[in-house]
Amino acid sequence: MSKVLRIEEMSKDRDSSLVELNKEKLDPLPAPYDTVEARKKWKTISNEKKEQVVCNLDGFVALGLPQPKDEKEEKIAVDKFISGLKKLLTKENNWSFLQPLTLSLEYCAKCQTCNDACPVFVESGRNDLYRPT
Amino acid sequence: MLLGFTYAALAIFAIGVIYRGWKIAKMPVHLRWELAPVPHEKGKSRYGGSYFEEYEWWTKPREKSLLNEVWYMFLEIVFLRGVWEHKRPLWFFTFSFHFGGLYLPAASVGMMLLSSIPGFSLLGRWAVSLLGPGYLLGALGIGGLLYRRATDPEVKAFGSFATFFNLFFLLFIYLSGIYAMLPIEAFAGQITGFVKSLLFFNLNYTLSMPARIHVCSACLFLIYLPFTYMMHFVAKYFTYHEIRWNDKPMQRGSNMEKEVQSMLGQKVSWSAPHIMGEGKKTWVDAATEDVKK
Repeated sequence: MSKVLRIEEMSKDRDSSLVELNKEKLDPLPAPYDTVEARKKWKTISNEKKEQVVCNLDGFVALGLPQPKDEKEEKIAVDKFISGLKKLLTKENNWSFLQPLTLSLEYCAKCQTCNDACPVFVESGRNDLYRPT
Repeated sequence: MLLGFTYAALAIFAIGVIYRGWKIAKMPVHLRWELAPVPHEKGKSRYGGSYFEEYEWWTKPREKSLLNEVWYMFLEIVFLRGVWEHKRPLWFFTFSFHFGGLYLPAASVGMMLLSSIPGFSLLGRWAVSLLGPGYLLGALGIGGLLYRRATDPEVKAFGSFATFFNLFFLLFIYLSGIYAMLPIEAFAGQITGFVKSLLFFNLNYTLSMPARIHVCSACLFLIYLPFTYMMHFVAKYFTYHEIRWNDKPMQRGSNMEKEVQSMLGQKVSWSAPHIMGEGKKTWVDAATEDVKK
């Protein structure tokens, strides 16, 4: 199991990745991709690109979010994120997933029994960043 | 006064549970994720199959197995099957707590109530014999869960103040119960008499001070419970029956179709460039318009 992460660590050191993913530590894939050599080489992001897009969770770019240039832009981004979270809890904006989301948020006992059901968490080598709880 | 407090606690508990259950039930229909296995799938649940595998399934009657579903629920509720399969190191203590600390005392109270029926008074004595082992198992389970929460790195990081508060609260109830039960003969008569007093609004009961403290702590817990995640005993019904197992297809003219159509007509306020809802567009508008590049 990887290092245990706490939510507040996301805001600490923004110049380096929160976690380092390593191909050797991932769960093996079925043959013929069951060797490290058989997996495709990962592209690394240049330092120039890192200054343009947010990739400091795991070193990968998923959403292409622009890096805020100053504190004002950062506040706008944070406010939009919080606004989005609130919208996820309204039926007008999220009726299609409201019941599953609300049940998880309000009644999760954090017992970690669901971890094995999450393929992302398991395949990452049980990397804490992808823990479903 | 203790009787009045107990009535109030039971009322708050009942209202809280019913209200929160109603809130969950009133949530809008969600879009199903095809989660498997679905236990009521007759002949198919053992491999996670579905009626969708049948050729032209919509022309055939659905074959369901209620027995399979009930059996699955029995194993999950009584023996915590999910924890056994996916988090076995936690199973022994959480089973001790749930079975011993919750189900046995609940059965015990039920038997005490039934003992009020003429001819069933023997149930009152048997009821107390469940309470002792229940409290001991409950205390053992809570102790183990506290230990795991404090030492297992996988759960330790996710323990909050509420987690530990709830566990210590329950531990206090079980330990106060064990203390109140000594000597057991006196306790048996007192507690059965108190439960009957509740049933018949009778102020004529006797409870020792340790028993009063125990009953008070249990009542406080009942008042507190509906406002916590321990309501998962209600939420799980919906998690299983609505989210994991509700594989009913949407048919033309059905209530589900009407509800989905109603939801699709709601206005979205998502402001991302590819939606630009701003409270003006409906789901149908957002899904059917061309995205400007």
